[in-house]
Amino acid sequence: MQKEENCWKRIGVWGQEEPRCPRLKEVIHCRNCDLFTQAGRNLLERDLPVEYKNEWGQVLLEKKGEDTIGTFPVVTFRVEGEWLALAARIFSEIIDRVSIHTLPHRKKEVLKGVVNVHGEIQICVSLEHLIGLEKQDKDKEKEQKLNDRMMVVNKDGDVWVFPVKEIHGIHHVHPDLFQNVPVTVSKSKSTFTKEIFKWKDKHVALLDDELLFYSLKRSIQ
Amino acid sequence: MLVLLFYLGDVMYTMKCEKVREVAPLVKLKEMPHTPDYFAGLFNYRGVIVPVIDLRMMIQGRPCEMRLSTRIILVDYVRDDNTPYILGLMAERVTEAVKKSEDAFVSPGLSMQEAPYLGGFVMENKEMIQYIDLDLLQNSFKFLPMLEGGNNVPDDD
Repeated sequence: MQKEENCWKRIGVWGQEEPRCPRLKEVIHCRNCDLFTQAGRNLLERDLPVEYKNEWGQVLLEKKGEDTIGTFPVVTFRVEGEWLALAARIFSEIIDRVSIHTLPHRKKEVLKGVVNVHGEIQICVSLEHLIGLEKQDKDKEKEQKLNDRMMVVNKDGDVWVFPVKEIHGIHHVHPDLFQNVPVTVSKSKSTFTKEIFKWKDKHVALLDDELLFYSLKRSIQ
Repeated sequence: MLVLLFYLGDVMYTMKCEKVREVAPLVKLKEMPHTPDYFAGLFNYRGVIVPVIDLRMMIQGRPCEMRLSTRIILVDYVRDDNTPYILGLMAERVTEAVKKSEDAFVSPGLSMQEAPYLGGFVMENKEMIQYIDLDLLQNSFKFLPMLEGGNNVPDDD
Protein backbone atom coordinates (compact mmCIF):
# COMPACT_ATOMS: atom_id res chain seq x y z
CA MET A 1 0.00 0.00 0.00
CA GLN A 2 2.74 2.41 0.97
CA LYS A 3 4.39 1.80 -2.40
CA GLU A 4 1.24 2.55 -4.33
CA GLU A 5 0.62 5.68 -2.40
CA ASN A 6 3.24 7.91 -3.94
CA CYS A 7 3.90 6.23 -7.29
CA TRP A 8 3.90 9.65 -9.00
CA LYS A 9 7.00 10.52 -6.99
CA ARG A 10 8.83 7.31 -7.92
CA ILE A 11 7.91 6.14 -11.40
CA GLY A 12 5.67 9.05 -12.43
CA VAL A 13 6.44 12.56 -13.63
CA TRP A 14 7.85 13.69 -10.27
CA GLY A 15 10.23 10.75 -9.97
CA GLN A 16 13.29 9.40 -11.78
CA GLU A 17 13.02 5.68 -11.00
CA GLU A 18 13.16 3.05 -13.72
CA PRO A 19 11.14 1.37 -15.08
CA ARG A 20 8.71 4.17 -15.79
CA CYS A 21 5.06 3.78 -14.94
CA PRO A 22 3.30 1.89 -17.77
CA ARG A 23 0.27 4.14 -17.42
CA LEU A 24 2.25 7.25 -18.37
CA LYS A 25 2.14 6.32 -22.07
CA GLU A 26 -1.60 6.50 -21.91
CA VAL A 27 -2.26 9.41 -19.58
CA ILE A 28 0.85 11.53 -20.44
CA HIS A 29 0.88 13.26 -17.04
CA CYS A 30 0.16 11.90 -13.58
CA ARG A 31 -2.52 14.49 -12.99
CA ASN A 32 -4.63 12.74 -15.66
CA CYS A 33 -4.34 9.41 -13.87
CA ASP A 34 -7.20 8.23 -11.69
CA LEU A 35 -4.74 6.86 -9.13
CA PHE A 36 -3.46 10.37 -8.56
CA THR A 37 -6.97 11.83 -8.42
CA GLN A 38 -8.00 9.19 -5.94
CA ALA A 39 -5.00 9.94 -3.73
CA GLY A 40 -6.03 13.57 -3.70
CA ARG A 41 -9.58 12.68 -2.79
CA ASN A 42 -8.30 10.48 0.03
CA LEU A 43 -6.68 13.51 1.60
CA LEU A 44 -10.13 14.95 1.99
CA GLU A 45 -11.34 11.80 3.70
CA ARG A 46 -9.32 12.57 6.79
CA ASP A 47 -11.00 13.41 10.05
CA LEU A 48 -11.64 17.02 10.89
CA PRO A 49 -8.88 18.86 12.75
CA VAL A 50 -10.06 20.10 16.14
CA GLU A 51 -10.13 23.82 15.42
CA TYR A 52 -11.45 23.46 11.88
CA LYS A 53 -15.13 23.88 12.68
CA ASN A 54 -14.62 26.93 14.87
CA GLU A 55 -12.34 28.63 12.38
CA TRP A 56 -14.74 28.23 9.51
CA GLY A 57 -17.61 29.23 11.71
CA GLN A 58 -15.86 32.55 12.27
CA VAL A 59 -15.23 32.99 8.55
CA LEU A 60 -18.82 32.25 7.58
CA LEU A 61 -20.46 34.56 10.05
CA GLU A 62 -18.72 37.56 8.53
CA LYS A 63 -20.72 39.45 5.98
CA LYS A 64 -19.27 39.47 2.52
CA GLY A 65 -16.86 42.28 1.75
CA GLU A 66 -17.21 45.52 -0.09
CA ASP A 67 -20.21 45.84 -2.30
CA THR A 68 -19.25 46.45 -5.89
CA ILE A 69 -22.74 46.58 -7.37
CA GLY A 70 -23.27 49.53 -9.64
CA THR A 71 -19.69 50.75 -9.52
CA PHE A 72 -17.86 51.85 -12.58
CA PRO A 73 -14.39 50.39 -13.23
CA VAL A 74 -11.79 52.90 -14.37
CA VAL A 75 -8.04 52.81 -14.80
CA THR A 76 -6.35 55.73 -13.11
CA PHE A 77 -3.04 57.01 -14.42
CA ARG A 78 -0.88 60.08 -14.32
CA VAL A 79 0.15 62.18 -17.27
CA GLU A 80 2.60 64.91 -16.30
CA GLY A 81 1.24 66.29 -13.04
CA GLU A 82 -2.35 65.34 -13.64
CA TRP A 83 -4.25 62.23 -12.51
CA LEU A 84 -6.66 61.03 -15.16
CA ALA A 85 -8.92 58.04 -15.64
CA LEU A 86 -10.40 56.14 -18.55
CA ALA A 87 -13.10 53.46 -18.56
CA ALA A 88 -11.42 50.11 -17.85
CA ARG A 89 -13.33 48.29 -20.59
CA ILE A 90 -11.34 49.92 -23.40
CA PHE A 91 -7.98 48.81 -22.00
CA SER A 92 -6.15 45.90 -23.63
CA GLU A 93 -3.09 45.89 -21.44
CA ILE A 94 -0.42 47.85 -19.66
CA ILE A 95 3.13 47.30 -20.89
CA ASP A 96 6.57 48.46 -19.84
CA ARG A 97 7.95 51.39 -21.67
CA VAL A 98 9.42 50.42 -25.06
CA SER A 99 11.22 52.63 -27.50
CA ILE A 100 9.17 54.71 -29.88
CA HIS A 101 10.10 54.83 -33.54
CA THR A 102 9.41 58.25 -34.91
CA LEU A 103 7.86 58.64 -38.32
CA PRO A 104 9.58 60.86 -40.87
CA HIS A 105 7.71 63.81 -42.33
CA ARG A 106 5.14 63.68 -39.60
CA LYS A 107 5.70 66.64 -37.41
CA LYS A 108 2.50 66.56 -35.43
CA GLU A 109 3.08 66.69 -31.73
CA VAL A 110 0.25 64.36 -30.86
CA LEU A 111 1.61 61.55 -33.00
CA LYS A 112 4.75 60.31 -31.32
CA GLY A 113 5.45 57.45 -33.70
CA VAL A 114 4.97 53.71 -33.74
CA VAL A 115 5.81 51.06 -31.17
CA ASN A 116 6.18 47.32 -31.24
CA VAL A 117 3.59 45.60 -29.08
CA HIS A 118 3.97 41.81 -29.21
CA GLY A 119 5.27 42.00 -32.73
CA GLU A 120 2.54 44.27 -34.00
CA ILE A 121 3.07 47.86 -34.98
CA GLN A 122 0.78 50.22 -33.12
CA ILE A 123 0.37 53.97 -33.20
CA CYS A 124 1.79 55.76 -30.21
CA VAL A 125 0.16 59.05 -29.29
CA SER A 126 0.81 61.67 -26.69
CA LEU A 127 -2.08 62.26 -24.38
CA GLU A 128 -0.50 65.34 -22.86
CA HIS A 129 -0.35 67.09 -26.21
CA LEU A 130 -3.87 66.18 -27.13
CA ILE A 131 -5.32 67.35 -23.86
CA GLY A 132 -2.91 70.21 -23.49
CA LEU A 133 -1.08 69.46 -20.25
CA GLU A 134 1.97 71.40 -19.21
CA LYS A 135 5.31 69.69 -18.88
CA GLN A 136 6.33 68.89 -15.36
CA ASP A 137 9.57 70.06 -13.77
CA LYS A 138 12.55 68.05 -14.91
CA ASP A 139 13.68 67.24 -11.35
CA LYS A 140 10.37 65.84 -10.31
CA GLU A 141 10.21 63.76 -13.44
CA LYS A 142 13.47 62.04 -12.77
CA GLU A 143 12.47 60.53 -9.49
CA GLN A 144 9.26 59.21 -10.97
CA LYS A 145 10.90 57.72 -14.03
CA LEU A 146 10.65 54.22 -12.57
CA ASN A 147 6.91 54.11 -12.94
CA ASP A 148 6.90 54.85 -16.66
CA ARG A 149 4.43 52.62 -18.45
CA MET A 150 2.50 52.43 -21.66
CA MET A 151 -1.21 51.85 -21.89
CA VAL A 152 -2.53 49.85 -24.80
CA VAL A 153 -6.10 50.86 -25.48
CA ASN A 154 -8.49 49.25 -27.90
CA LYS A 155 -11.34 51.51 -28.89
CA ASP A 156 -13.79 49.94 -31.36
CA GLY A 157 -11.01 47.92 -32.98
CA ASP A 158 -8.47 50.75 -33.20
CA VAL A 159 -5.42 50.20 -31.02
CA TRP A 160 -3.68 53.18 -29.48
CA VAL A 161 -0.64 53.28 -27.26
CA PHE A 162 -0.19 56.05 -24.71
CA PRO A 163 3.00 56.56 -22.75
CA VAL A 164 2.10 57.64 -19.23
CA LYS A 165 4.13 58.58 -16.20
CA GLU A 166 2.44 56.32 -13.69
CA ILE A 167 -0.44 53.89 -13.50
CA HIS A 168 -2.34 53.17 -10.36
CA GLY A 169 -4.52 50.37 -11.69
CA ILE A 170 -8.20 49.53 -11.80
CA HIS A 171 -10.34 51.50 -9.44
CA HIS A 172 -14.05 50.96 -8.83
CA VAL A 173 -15.91 54.22 -8.55
CA HIS A 174 -19.49 54.51 -7.47
CA PRO A 175 -21.46 56.86 -9.76
CA ASP A 176 -22.55 58.85 -6.71
CA LEU A 177 -18.96 59.90 -6.15
CA PHE A 178 -18.73 61.62 -9.51
CA GLN A 179 -18.76 65.38 -9.30
CA ASN A 180 -19.62 67.71 -12.10
CA VAL A 181 -16.88 69.50 -13.93
CA PRO A 182 -16.83 73.17 -12.93
CA VAL A 183 -18.13 75.22 -15.83
CA THR A 184 -15.70 78.02 -15.21
CA VAL A 185 -12.68 75.89 -16.04
CA SER A 186 -11.55 77.05 -19.41
CA LYS A 187 -8.42 74.99 -19.91
CA SER A 188 -8.62 72.77 -22.93
CA LYS A 189 -8.19 69.58 -20.93
CA SER A 190 -11.54 70.12 -19.28
CA THR A 191 -13.33 69.60 -22.56
CA PHE A 192 -12.39 65.95 -22.46
CA THR A 193 -13.35 65.53 -18.85
CA LYS A 194 -16.66 63.82 -18.31
CA GLU A 195 -16.64 63.58 -14.54
CA ILE A 196 -14.35 64.32 -11.65
CA PHE A 197 -14.01 62.04 -8.64
CA LYS A 198 -11.97 62.17 -5.49
CA TRP A 199 -9.39 59.46 -4.96
CA LYS A 200 -7.35 59.64 -1.80
CA ASP A 201 -6.40 63.32 -1.63
CA LYS A 202 -6.45 63.85 -5.38
CA HIS A 203 -9.06 64.88 -7.84
CA VAL A 204 -9.10 62.53 -10.80
CA ALA A 205 -10.61 63.50 -14.12
CA LEU A 206 -12.50 60.77 -15.92
CA LEU A 207 -12.02 61.36 -19.62
CA ASP A 208 -14.81 61.05 -22.14
CA ASP A 209 -13.51 58.23 -24.33
CA GLU A 210 -15.89 58.87 -27.23
CA LEU A 211 -14.79 62.46 -27.55
CA LEU A 212 -11.15 61.69 -26.85
CA PHE A 213 -10.75 59.10 -29.57
CA TYR A 214 -12.81 61.10 -32.01
CA SER A 215 -10.50 64.06 -31.74
CA LEU A 216 -7.49 61.78 -31.63
CA LYS A 217 -8.44 60.27 -34.96
CA ARG A 218 -8.89 63.70 -36.48
CA SER A 219 -5.70 65.11 -35.12
CA ILE A 220 -3.41 62.51 -36.61
CA GLN A 221 -4.96 62.44 -40.05
CA MET B 1 -26.85 21.94 -16.66
CA LEU B 2 -24.46 21.79 -13.73
CA VAL B 3 -25.13 19.16 -11.10
CA LEU B 4 -23.39 18.66 -7.78
CA LEU B 5 -22.15 15.17 -6.91
CA PHE B 6 -21.91 13.98 -3.34
CA TYR B 7 -22.11 10.85 -1.27
CA LEU B 8 -24.20 9.64 1.61
CA GLY B 9 -22.27 6.65 2.90
CA ASP B 10 -21.25 4.65 -0.19
CA VAL B 11 -24.07 5.83 -2.38
CA MET B 12 -23.59 8.68 -4.81
CA TYR B 13 -26.31 11.29 -5.06
CA THR B 14 -26.70 14.41 -7.11
CA MET B 15 -28.66 17.64 -7.15
CA LYS B 16 -29.06 20.54 -9.54
CA CYS B 17 -26.79 23.49 -8.88
CA GLU B 18 -29.35 26.15 -9.84
CA LYS B 19 -30.48 26.74 -6.29
CA VAL B 20 -27.16 26.06 -4.61
CA ARG B 21 -25.83 29.28 -3.19
CA GLU B 22 -22.54 28.10 -1.74
CA VAL B 23 -20.83 24.94 -0.56
CA ALA B 24 -19.49 25.73 2.89
CA PRO B 25 -17.11 23.73 5.05
CA LEU B 26 -18.41 22.03 8.12
CA VAL B 27 -18.85 24.41 11.02
CA LYS B 28 -19.87 24.09 14.61
CA LEU B 29 -23.62 23.78 14.76
CA LYS B 30 -25.96 24.76 17.56
CA GLU B 31 -28.00 21.71 18.37
CA MET B 32 -31.62 22.09 19.28
CA PRO B 33 -33.50 19.78 21.64
CA HIS B 34 -36.76 18.15 20.62
CA THR B 35 -36.12 18.32 16.94
CA PRO B 36 -36.04 15.37 14.50
CA ASP B 37 -32.72 13.46 14.60
CA TYR B 38 -31.81 14.53 11.06
CA PHE B 39 -31.88 18.17 12.10
CA ALA B 40 -28.18 18.82 12.66
CA GLY B 41 -28.52 22.29 14.15
CA LEU B 42 -28.26 25.97 13.40
CA PHE B 43 -25.37 28.22 12.47
CA ASN B 44 -24.71 31.86 11.78
CA TYR B 45 -24.23 32.31 8.04
CA ARG B 46 -23.21 35.90 7.36
CA GLY B 47 -25.60 37.23 9.96
CA VAL B 48 -28.51 34.91 9.17
CA ILE B 49 -29.50 31.87 11.23
CA VAL B 50 -29.47 28.90 8.88
CA PRO B 51 -30.90 25.48 9.82
CA VAL B 52 -28.82 22.49 8.69
CA ILE B 53 -30.25 19.10 7.78
CA ASP B 54 -28.09 15.97 7.94
CA LEU B 55 -29.03 14.39 4.61
CA ARG B 56 -27.44 11.05 5.46
CA MET B 57 -29.38 10.79 8.68
CA MET B 58 -32.54 11.67 6.86
CA ILE B 59 -32.13 9.18 4.04
CA GLN B 60 -30.06 6.39 5.58
CA GLY B 61 -30.62 6.79 9.30
CA ARG B 62 -26.92 7.34 10.09
CA PRO B 63 -25.22 10.68 10.67
CA CYS B 64 -22.59 12.06 8.25
CA GLU B 65 -19.00 11.18 9.13
CA MET B 66 -17.03 14.18 10.36
CA ARG B 67 -14.50 14.35 7.52
CA LEU B 68 -12.85 17.22 5.68
CA SER B 69 -14.93 16.46 2.62
CA THR B 70 -18.19 16.58 4.55
CA ARG B 71 -19.67 19.91 3.72
CA ILE B 72 -22.77 22.02 4.04
CA ILE B 73 -24.60 22.76 0.80
CA LEU B 74 -26.40 26.08 1.20
CA VAL B 75 -29.59 26.19 -0.85
CA ASP B 76 -31.67 29.26 -1.69
CA TYR B 77 -35.38 28.77 -1.15
CA VAL B 78 -38.42 30.99 -1.32
CA ARG B 79 -41.25 30.80 1.20
CA ASP B 80 -44.91 30.80 0.25
CA ASP B 81 -45.05 34.53 0.93
CA ASN B 82 -42.15 35.14 -1.50
CA THR B 83 -39.51 35.90 1.13
CA PRO B 84 -36.20 34.12 0.62
CA TYR B 85 -34.53 31.81 3.10
CA ILE B 86 -31.47 29.59 3.16
CA LEU B 87 -31.29 25.95 4.15
CA GLY B 88 -28.11 24.01 4.81
CA LEU B 89 -27.82 20.39 3.69
CA MET B 90 -24.98 18.37 5.14
CA ALA B 91 -23.56 15.66 2.88
CA GLU B 92 -20.35 13.65 2.51
CA ARG B 93 -17.63 13.89 -0.15
CA VAL B 94 -19.02 17.02 -1.73
CA THR B 95 -16.08 17.42 -4.09
CA GLU B 96 -17.33 17.53 -7.64
CA ALA B 97 -19.75 19.28 -9.95
CA VAL B 98 -20.32 18.02 -13.48
CA LYS B 99 -22.28 19.13 -16.51
CA LYS B 100 -25.24 16.95 -17.51
CA SER B 101 -27.66 17.42 -20.37
CA GLU B 102 -31.36 17.66 -19.69
CA ASP B 103 -32.08 14.20 -21.16
CA ALA B 104 -29.75 12.52 -18.68
CA PHE B 105 -32.49 13.04 -16.11
CA VAL B 106 -34.85 10.08 -16.06
CA SER B 107 -37.75 9.19 -13.85
CA PRO B 108 -38.48 5.53 -13.14
CA GLY B 109 -42.07 6.37 -12.35
CA LEU B 110 -41.71 5.58 -8.69
CA SER B 111 -43.12 7.75 -6.01
CA MET B 112 -42.38 7.05 -2.39
CA GLN B 113 -44.62 8.60 0.17
CA GLU B 114 -41.80 8.77 2.71
CA ALA B 115 -39.31 10.41 0.41
CA PRO B 116 -41.00 12.07 -2.57
CA TYR B 117 -37.81 14.05 -3.29
CA LEU B 118 -35.91 10.88 -4.26
CA GLY B 119 -37.89 10.09 -7.41
CA GLY B 120 -35.47 10.67 -10.27
CA PHE B 121 -32.13 9.43 -11.57
CA VAL B 122 -29.29 10.85 -13.59
CA MET B 123 -27.60 8.48 -16.04
CA GLU B 124 -23.83 8.43 -16.07
CA ASN B 125 -22.07 5.81 -18.18
CA LYS B 126 -24.99 3.45 -17.76
CA GLU B 127 -24.86 3.93 -14.02
CA MET B 128 -27.74 5.48 -12.21
CA ILE B 129 -27.17 8.28 -9.74
CA GLN B 130 -30.07 9.05 -7.50
CA TYR B 131 -31.22 12.60 -7.87
CA ILE B 132 -32.57 14.76 -5.05
CA ASP B 133 -35.31 17.16 -6.06
CA LEU B 134 -34.68 20.30 -4.04
CA ASP B 135 -38.18 21.66 -4.60
CA LEU B 136 -39.82 18.58 -3.18
CA LEU B 137 -37.21 18.32 -0.45
CA GLN B 138 -38.26 21.52 1.26
CA ASN B 139 -41.74 20.13 1.87
CA SER B 140 -40.21 17.63 4.28
CA PHE B 141 -39.11 20.37 6.65
CA LYS B 142 -42.44 21.81 7.58
CA PHE B 143 -41.56 21.15 11.20
CA LEU B 144 -39.15 24.07 11.11
CA PRO B 145 -41.21 27.04 12.23
CA MET B 146 -38.44 29.41 11.19
CA LEU B 147 -39.14 28.59 7.59
CA GLU B 148 -42.52 30.24 7.93
CA GLY B 149 -41.64 33.69 9.21
CA GLY B 150 -39.22 36.27 7.91
CA ASN B 151 -35.55 36.53 8.63
CA ASN B 152 -33.56 38.23 5.97
CA VAL B 153 -31.08 36.76 3.57
CA PRO B 154 -27.96 38.74 2.72
CA ASP B 155 -27.79 40.02 -0.81
CA ASP B 156 -25.83 38.16 -3.41
CA ASP B 157 -22.58 39.70 -4.50
